[in-house]
Amino acid sequence: MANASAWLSLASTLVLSGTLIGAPIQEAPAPEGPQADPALVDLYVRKCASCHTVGKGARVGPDLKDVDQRRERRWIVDLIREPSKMLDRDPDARKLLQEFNGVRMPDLGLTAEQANGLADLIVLASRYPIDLSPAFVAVTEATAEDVARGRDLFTGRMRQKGGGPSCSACHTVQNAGGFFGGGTLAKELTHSFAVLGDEGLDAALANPSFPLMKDVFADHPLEPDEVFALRAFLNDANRSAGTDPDRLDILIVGLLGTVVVILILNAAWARRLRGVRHAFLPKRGSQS
Amino acid sequence: MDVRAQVSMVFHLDKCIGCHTCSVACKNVWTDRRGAEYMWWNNVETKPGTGYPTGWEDQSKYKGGFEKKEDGLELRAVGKVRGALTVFHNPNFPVIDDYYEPFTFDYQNLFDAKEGADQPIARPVSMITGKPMEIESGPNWDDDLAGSKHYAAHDPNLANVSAEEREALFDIERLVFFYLPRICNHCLNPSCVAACPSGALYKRGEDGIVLLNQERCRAWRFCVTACPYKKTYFNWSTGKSEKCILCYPRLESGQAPACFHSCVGRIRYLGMVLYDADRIEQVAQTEDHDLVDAQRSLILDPNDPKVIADAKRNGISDDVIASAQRSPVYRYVIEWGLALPLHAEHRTLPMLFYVPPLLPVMAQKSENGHYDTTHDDFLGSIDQYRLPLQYMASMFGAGNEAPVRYALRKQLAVRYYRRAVTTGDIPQEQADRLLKEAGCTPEEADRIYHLTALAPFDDRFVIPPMHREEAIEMLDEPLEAKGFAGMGIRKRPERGA
Repeated sequence: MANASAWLSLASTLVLSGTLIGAPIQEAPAPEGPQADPALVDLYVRKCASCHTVGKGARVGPDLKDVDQRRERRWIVDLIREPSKMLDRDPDARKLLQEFNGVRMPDLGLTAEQANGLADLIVLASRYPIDLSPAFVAVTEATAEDVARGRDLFTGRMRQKGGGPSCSACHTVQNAGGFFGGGTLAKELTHSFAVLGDEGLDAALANPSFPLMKDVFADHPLEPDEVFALRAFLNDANRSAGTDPDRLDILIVGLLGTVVVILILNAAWARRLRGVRHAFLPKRGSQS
Repeated sequence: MDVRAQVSMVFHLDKCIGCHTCSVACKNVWTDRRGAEYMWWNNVETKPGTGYPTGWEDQSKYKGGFEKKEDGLELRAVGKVRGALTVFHNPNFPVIDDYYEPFTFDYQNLFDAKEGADQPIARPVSMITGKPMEIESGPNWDDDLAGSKHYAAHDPNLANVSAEEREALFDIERLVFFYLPRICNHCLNPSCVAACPSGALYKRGEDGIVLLNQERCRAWRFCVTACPYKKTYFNWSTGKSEKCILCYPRLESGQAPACFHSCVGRIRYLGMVLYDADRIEQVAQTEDHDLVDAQRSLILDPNDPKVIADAKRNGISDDVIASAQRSPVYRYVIEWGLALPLHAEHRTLPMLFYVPPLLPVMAQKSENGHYDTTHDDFLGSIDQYRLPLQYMASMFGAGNEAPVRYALRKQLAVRYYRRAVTTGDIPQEQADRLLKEAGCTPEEADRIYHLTALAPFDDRFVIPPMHREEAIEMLDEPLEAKGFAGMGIRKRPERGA
């Protein structure tokens, strides 16, 4: 049963993403010049669009327009294939890393063929108007209900349709997830909206490319409406959160909890043997 | 009938002088080791008193032994369910203070002290921590009623003794006490064996000695809690429990155990008895009142042809049966009914029996403050017994006075009889009448006198041939060790050999 519903939700996700991502490209009026391979466009939207644009300005990573004029072809393909190696060794790549606040490009797990195709696509899109941005509804249209739904999805109170784990299993957002907050395995996300921006967040949620998240959500993708709700929630969290409060309360609760546990154990073993001989003797110092 | 053999013991308390030679012999042979300093596998207590460890008889605190429940016996504190629940925190352990913190003295200081105005002294030093300490207690701290106000007054056996009798017990001119030497009872239904979660404790099949396998012990210490006599001890250095082994290496080579051998008062008797293992479960569930008699009924007559036949069928060899027929224990416990188990109410069926002390019934403080040693009938009677019978019954009768009274009465009758024989200042008729009343014949009285008062070495210790070779054959292949010089290596050390 669970398996069947998982397949169903995966199928519906594929259909939906087909209509939302694939559709505009197919239906767009034929531009002058060569056509882009739709499979490559789809790959770009999933893997690159969360951080990069072509001609729409730098986001998390640099604007890729006319990259072929700045770098050698080989450099571009290497970076797409093995960013971690390049970021470690290549001086140009390191400089860029510094420029973009040390946010490292994750390894995408692409084949040489795919990397070459993407390089071609970027060059193509630099010259001709090819729409590479995913279908997108800005978070400004979100209602309070969307925010609440996003919060529930984040904390796991509402189950994701794709069956993926709740965000708070690994992430924390201030003022969400109850007293103890969320997980600390991955990044604290209170101000993620400010860092990634609305579109970046959208891509990051719909097609996560972060090392662990990539694998976890590979078979359990978020649906577009869920992504929208989460964005709405993270936007709200970004705006309403103050600076990080001192969590002294956790320490106090911890200490009190320890005392309570000790008292309970003491009560449970109240009749334990505490030495026989001493009970027979007069108290020290008293006249016997 | 499942006939088995057990090395059993009798301690004749009327002969014990409380010299602690047995304790020292045992200590020197077995427990003079690190981690075992506080252990006294053999100890001698003063009664009334709280003994060692302090107040060991109070099972409301130490929770040893079995309890009779509707559906059988259950260990008081460390049964299956309760034991599992408290396996990591057993709330009923005695602490070292209940035994005593073992100490030595810093004698070296007597030689090394710098010259000064004061005499150098040897300070007491803890044998556990090695630091100077205050001695607060010892293994026989309440010896000869020392500190009786605090110790003897808390003797649990006084629970059913009236306030009047209790007061008389500790009245300064009327003080009375006797000694109680204790070793492991090598019970037929040992609660230490029942309690051990690791299966480290076992009762040796061929002679019933209860032993503790040092390789299997996992330091749960349930045996310490389970033994109502507190005769298993935890070695804090090796992390294993230890107990009296009845000097089985000595027994196997035909010698009496060290404490038996060294006994000054010759109070100890040792011999084989045959018992019916089929009836153990039933007997252990007898009501308190009949428990002592029921336990003694387990021991079979070694001269009964049917018992002999059944014993042989069980693989008990002829010379062991012959040894059981000569057993002084069988005489005292079954034939004469003089020896009784200690605290049978814990239902472990102890195989160490005590002849209750007759005590001097003479010499009491009279009305005018003088010692009055005269009685109408010279030795007095059991009714003038200086310890309340209820007190003795609590120890040796599982609360029932009858077996204690019977044993004391017979001893007294034998004493009258021997007095009449040797000095003639007791009329023979009176002695005969007393013997008859006590259910004793002159011949039996002579035998009791012989084994009690004369007690030659070989009559006291009828050590059976242990037949270790037969027991070993059941577990190991002796031919595998052929070619070794009689000392094959059972377990090779890791470093190699």
